[in-house]
Amino acid sequence: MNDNKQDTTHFGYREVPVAEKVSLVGQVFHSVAGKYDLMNDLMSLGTHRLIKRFTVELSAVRSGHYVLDLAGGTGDFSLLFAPLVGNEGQVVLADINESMVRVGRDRIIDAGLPGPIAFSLANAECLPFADNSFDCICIAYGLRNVTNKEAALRSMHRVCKPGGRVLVLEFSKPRNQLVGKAYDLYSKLWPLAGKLVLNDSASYQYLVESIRMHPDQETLKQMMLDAGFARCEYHDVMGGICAIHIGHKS
Amino acid sequence: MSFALLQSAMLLPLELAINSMLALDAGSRQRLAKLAGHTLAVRVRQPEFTFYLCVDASKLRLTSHYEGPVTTTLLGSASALAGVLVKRAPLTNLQGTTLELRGDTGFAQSLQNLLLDLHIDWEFHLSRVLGDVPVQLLADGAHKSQAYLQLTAQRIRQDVETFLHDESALLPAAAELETFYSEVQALVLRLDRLDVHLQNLTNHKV
Repeated sequence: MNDNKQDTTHFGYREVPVAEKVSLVGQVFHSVAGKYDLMNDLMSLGTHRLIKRFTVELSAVRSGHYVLDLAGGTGDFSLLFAPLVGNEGQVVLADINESMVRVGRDRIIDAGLPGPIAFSLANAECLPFADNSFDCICIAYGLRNVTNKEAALRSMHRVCKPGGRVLVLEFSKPRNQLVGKAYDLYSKLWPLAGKLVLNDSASYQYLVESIRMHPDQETLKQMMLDAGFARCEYHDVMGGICAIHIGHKS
Repeated sequence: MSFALLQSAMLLPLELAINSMLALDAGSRQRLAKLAGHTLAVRVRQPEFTFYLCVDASKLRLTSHYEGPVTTTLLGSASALAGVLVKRAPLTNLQGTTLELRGDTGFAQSLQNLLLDLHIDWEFHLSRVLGDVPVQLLADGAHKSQAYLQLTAQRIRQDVETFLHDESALLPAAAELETFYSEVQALVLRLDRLDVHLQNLTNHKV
């Protein structure tokens, strides 16, 4: 019975074999990569840009730092981090999905900012970097898609420098019931928006379901502490619709 | 935290506006590079909030959260800060205000100079959008209008002065005022002398 449970994981509301989740999530992001940014703007009404900017402020990244933009996708964070680290530092945009990295790389080259940015196809659960490599690791709206979140957090802890920090920006649980209900209603429109823009409602149905299945603020905080972070705090954003967790490595 | 996000959101358009203005001044980049790496913290009281102006090599960043070293800190109420901004008063001379400047005041002054003394060639930038000929015509019209308005304002001021002083005699002329002030001053001095005389006489009598 236990073995059977260990062999499956959730993909949205569905229980699927662990080995299948990576490819299923991969299919979702292959499908949405081309219009990922447009859909983000539509679904968040542009607020995701403000939240990302605020997350970068909390990162305390400065000139000369090495930053890992994990699940970096289309490069929003890499574009924000690159001017901060300057030519003395480096940003590595890493994502498990080739289509997303390709879109991100093209976008960054078009922006004329490839200098301090490198690209990597990497699985968050087993990051292909040396121990203590990065001053800051940021994973935004990516952790909930990872099959084994605990392994991903341990891997991030391993490659983070002592004194460095890991930021996890993710959907979370609204504090206020009214806000939660309004948000639930609003998010039910996302598959429809996916259908209209990408002719793909299933990917955005998965998005809605994966948000519901993601651990709440306190649970994720405990997961980060269990992964080895010495200190962990989180900030609710927009009443808890999103949360920014910050883990410090001692 | 929602307030911090809101504050960050409010700083974004301000940052974009400042950097857009800086981009229009060809010399600003060089002046910006000299200040790169320095940060001005602005701590506002009533309402209580703090934001930071971080100078990068090519732009200014306005943030609500900053953990690095601060070069200069400017403290004061929102109204006092607004007063300095409106009057364009130098940050190194804050006498008579409730503002306080801590740290490297030279950096604060250089940053203020950078932001206030922008030399923007509007005609050049507009010509890239509208074309040379329309911008030349617009510029000629603007210069002529400006000269006409200045001349008209000067004439109106002179006419009003003439009417008030000479025709209606509602206000005294400047020379009359000066004579009056001199007489008052002389009277004050005579009163002072009289007061001293009286004191001497009183002391002598005792």
